[in-house]
Amino acid sequence: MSPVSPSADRPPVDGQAPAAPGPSTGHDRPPTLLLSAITARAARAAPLWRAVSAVAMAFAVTAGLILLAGKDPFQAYAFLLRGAFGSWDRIVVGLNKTTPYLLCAVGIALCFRGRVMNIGAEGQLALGGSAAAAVALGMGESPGWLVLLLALAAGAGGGALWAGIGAGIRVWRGVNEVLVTLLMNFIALLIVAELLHGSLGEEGAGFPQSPLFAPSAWLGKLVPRTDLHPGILIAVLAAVAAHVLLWRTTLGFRWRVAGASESAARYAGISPGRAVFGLMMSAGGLAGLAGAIECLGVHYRLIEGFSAGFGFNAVAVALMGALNPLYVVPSALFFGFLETGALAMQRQVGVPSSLVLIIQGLTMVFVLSGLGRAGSAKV
Amino acid sequence: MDAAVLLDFLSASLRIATPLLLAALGGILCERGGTFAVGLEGQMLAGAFFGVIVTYFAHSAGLGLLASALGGMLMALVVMVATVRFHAEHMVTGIASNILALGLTSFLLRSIAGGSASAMRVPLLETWAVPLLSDIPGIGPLLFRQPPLTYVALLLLPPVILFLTRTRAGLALRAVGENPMAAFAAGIDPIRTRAAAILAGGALAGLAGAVLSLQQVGTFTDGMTGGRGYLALAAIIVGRWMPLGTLVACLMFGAAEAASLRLQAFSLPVSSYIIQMLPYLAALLVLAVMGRGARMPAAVGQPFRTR
Amino acid sequence: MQQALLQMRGISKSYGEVRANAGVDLTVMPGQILGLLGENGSGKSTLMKILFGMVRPDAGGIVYEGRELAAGSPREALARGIAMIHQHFTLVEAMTVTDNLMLGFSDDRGMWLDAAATATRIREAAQRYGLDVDPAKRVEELALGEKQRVEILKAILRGAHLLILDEPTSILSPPEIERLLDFLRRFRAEGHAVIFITHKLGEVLAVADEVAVLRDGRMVGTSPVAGATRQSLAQLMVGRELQAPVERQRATPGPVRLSVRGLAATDASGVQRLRGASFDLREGEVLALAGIDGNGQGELADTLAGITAPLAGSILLDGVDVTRGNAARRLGAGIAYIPADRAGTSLVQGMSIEDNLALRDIGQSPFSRWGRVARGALRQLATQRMRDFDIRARHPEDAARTLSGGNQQKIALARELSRRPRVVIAFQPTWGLDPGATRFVIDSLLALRAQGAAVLYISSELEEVMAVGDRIGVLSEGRVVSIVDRDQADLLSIGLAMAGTPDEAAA
Repeated sequence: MSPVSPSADRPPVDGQAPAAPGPSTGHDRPPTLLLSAITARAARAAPLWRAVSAVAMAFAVTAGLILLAGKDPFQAYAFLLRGAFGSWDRIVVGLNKTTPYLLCAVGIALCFRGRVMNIGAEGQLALGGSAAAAVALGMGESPGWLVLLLALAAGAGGGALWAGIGAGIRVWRGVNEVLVTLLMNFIALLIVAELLHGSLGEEGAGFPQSPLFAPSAWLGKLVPRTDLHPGILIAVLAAVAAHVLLWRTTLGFRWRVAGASESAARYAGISPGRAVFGLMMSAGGLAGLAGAIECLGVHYRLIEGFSAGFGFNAVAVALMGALNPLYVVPSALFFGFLETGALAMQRQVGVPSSLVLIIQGLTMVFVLSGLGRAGSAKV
Repeated sequence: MDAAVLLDFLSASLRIATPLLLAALGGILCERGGTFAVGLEGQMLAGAFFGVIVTYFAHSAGLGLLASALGGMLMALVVMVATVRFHAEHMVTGIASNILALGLTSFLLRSIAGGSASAMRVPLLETWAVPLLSDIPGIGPLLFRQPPLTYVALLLLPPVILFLTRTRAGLALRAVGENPMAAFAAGIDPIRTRAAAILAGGALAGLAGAVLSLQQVGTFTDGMTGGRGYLALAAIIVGRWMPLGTLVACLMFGAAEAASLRLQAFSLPVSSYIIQMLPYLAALLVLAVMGRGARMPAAVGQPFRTR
Repeated sequence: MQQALLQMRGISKSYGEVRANAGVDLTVMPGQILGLLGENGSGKSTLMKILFGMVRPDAGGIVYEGRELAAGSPREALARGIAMIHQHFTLVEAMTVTDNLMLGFSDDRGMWLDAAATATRIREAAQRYGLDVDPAKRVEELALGEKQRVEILKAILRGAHLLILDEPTSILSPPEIERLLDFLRRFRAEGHAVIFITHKLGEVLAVADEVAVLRDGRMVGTSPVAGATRQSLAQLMVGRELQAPVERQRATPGPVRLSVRGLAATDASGVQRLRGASFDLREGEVLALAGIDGNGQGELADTLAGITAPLAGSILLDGVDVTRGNAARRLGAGIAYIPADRAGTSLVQGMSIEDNLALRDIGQSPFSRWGRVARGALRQLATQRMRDFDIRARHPEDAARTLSGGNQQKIALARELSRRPRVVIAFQPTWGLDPGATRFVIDSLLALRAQGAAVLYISSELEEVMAVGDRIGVLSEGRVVSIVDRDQADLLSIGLAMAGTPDEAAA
């Protein structure tokens, strides 16, 4: 990259703030002020526009595909909506589905903001769930609240540990963390498969799964007589906590500086390596927690494939949420309910549920293109 | 272990390695040009799908193969436009294109075939014994009694190597992947070069998909690539971005899978999952050991912008 | 009369408000070496980039060998026989010398590469021009001087008639410089031409036929080298009206605060830019160091501030050795630092003004308590600072990037100077600022000096150095040379020292 200090040519480097015309120590100039106010507001709203237009384009392209398949897109989308929001049962399913997306995406948002491209959420989630399962199965007869507490902690710890290994390779060997976390995903999934066929597996089951957890170890219901488990609360709390961490604590401050530029971090006395560790282990912990919640609250066992798709899709959720923990909440809700509605759409209209993958993939591509065009891999 | 079992094992390793090799060769072209080839998985899947569809309806394997290459190129086109034109981040775009491919192929399959998807079977590409050579004891059946795409994969190696090391275009490609500014100052167009590399990679990956659907299984099922695209990526890393090294890596990975399928025969004390983990662990090890000096194309993943 | 090889007419280029080139005319004859002189910001590099096609001019045209040269295309320039050797090499590190030279040869050579033939041609050219290089070696294994030779060979093998060299000697050792000058003479003897950008008068006098001087984007004069002296050239380069001197009291320097001995450091790419700087800095004085970029300024500043570790040497603060220690420790010891790079180092553009004001001290009270940022105290402090330093913005929450350059710099100033530092290191603090903001910066630093701080002011702006310094020195070739008191300093001798030829009289 070109040298930092001003070189032979005077012109401002890319990214430099535009110098206001006229003497800067003169009086405030209203037109300039107004213009900068408008552009500032536009800049803040740009991520929202980006997300909305990406989603809109994805839906439009998909509608085209539905037409090609000989079906009516409006009807299909109507069923999508109904499938997502049509009844309380559906909404509960949507909220449950949102939980892992939200937890993983919050962690990923923190990482990407710190310029750490952690895409290992799937592996972290899978191992977190396994750790929780191990605790749940191993502590059989202990009081429920203790088991749950320890299992959830184990889940978060397992995910954080796995992420920490990746962080170590990145910090101490200088390897691109995308490659590292990508590879570690596959290794993690195979470890879980190994566990399911071994120590955690259920004898005689036709399917790779662990024995059912004792009911005392089940994550209870938030609202009685529904399927809604407290995961969504935990996830929203995590999003709020991340927001507070990022904006109100010195740790978050340091992470934000480290994410802005390495030279600024060094200037400010911050260690870039420590920031990477902190970010990745937090994200890993959140993903691991998500895995634990899936096992303890949805499946009540460790089951093959329980982690499928969350990790990569969570990246899209984070990007669409402009890497802001609070905005990630509606983004995760969108993804969660999209999936819920898609299943219903498939049953009613005969449009395959793989459509939701198309919408997700297209949304990601459009958001990424928009971000790239705006000149940054993060907001 | 007798000779027949060993031969069967080696032959299976080569067969299993074939799609990996084709995809990895495509990935090498893509990455040498400076774009992370994370989209190989989706390109393979698209290739597998279009290969079956066209073969089925046109009753021609030749057209099917062509379609599979084009299908791979189609997914690669998405990656190309996003990364080269819009400077989107490579890794995540690749993953997004994989998700898109998964959905697209499943959707199109259902739309075209409806419920009778599994009935869309096509005849497998048959093994073809090279006359004379296949009768050599030992290596004869191993190397010269293989299905056609395996020959294609092996035969593509010399041209790819020659291309990269001995041609002007290959030199330009490598320069763009290492230092696009230098290439630009030398009069090369990094944008066009990168775009071409991505598309060429997609074509090869599409062909790799055809190995699965047209040569091994005979039909298309959702997500049938099963992560092989990522495995090819790992092979590229272990092979240090060079065709011969990648060949060795693919063969090793193929052997690993062949071994895991034959555990009983070999009475290995290790579970098949551990064995399947080896390729990824190997790639991780190579990366960790090489560290910053990983010898990957220096400018891979970086967008190229002109003033 | 011989036809000119190159004629650039009326070249103008602006980047936003900044006019890099303003109506520049330049003529080069065949068989001529032209030295292009000028300080930082004079527009030399921009002009050459325009010639080579890497940058498009806003106005003006280029005629080469009697025909118009299309703008904006290095390919075109190369095809016509113009080659540029950049300061930052455009070589592919991982490939061999031969590979690099085969890159981009015109297409009539066919599809296949012939490495052996190219290697032979390399050796022949190397022989003929005295440019020793091993074609089989990988570029990353070469020393900087060798890499430069590869770049030159690239140009020669492409049949370049006009060679443009941008500050080629800044990375070379004296014997390598001799070798380069020797090559230039041989190149000229073959009837080719050279444009040689430099700020070093000695080299110009040694090898150039003609000299052209740029100042602030304009061509201020050309002169044949025969008959010119160092003085006359230095005069052209720096001579101009000084601004009205800044109001200041006499300095009453106290004891030595900072003592630097033999400090050496490399830049980001491993070149040793700082080669043994030594000086003392006293309480209540400003030591201003002038110098052209590339002579170790940034490395000196970063090393003193604790951002990079030195290769050798020592730094003593009030007698205590602080050489080993990072930025946080230096800060704690009372050393404030205003870096040159506003865009990425001293400020985080995307963060708010108040956050930037707390950038280096966020971990301490009153900015935070128990790990929690004390927003109220932060806001209060920010408002106060904004008032004290007249930072024009609507709200402390506004992002730094919305401010003008001058106001951004005030943030950095406010942050660094409010802590009542004992030592201030200011590196190019007025870069990109208009005169009003520049004045503000200088006044703030002088005020601090009046309060007893020791100020080190590093800048390539000669006026400022002359206006600000109680003692004035020059950073040249990685060393601090010719420190004189303000009364004894004269523009010419400083200009000479900057240009690499310290005047004996001013020692």
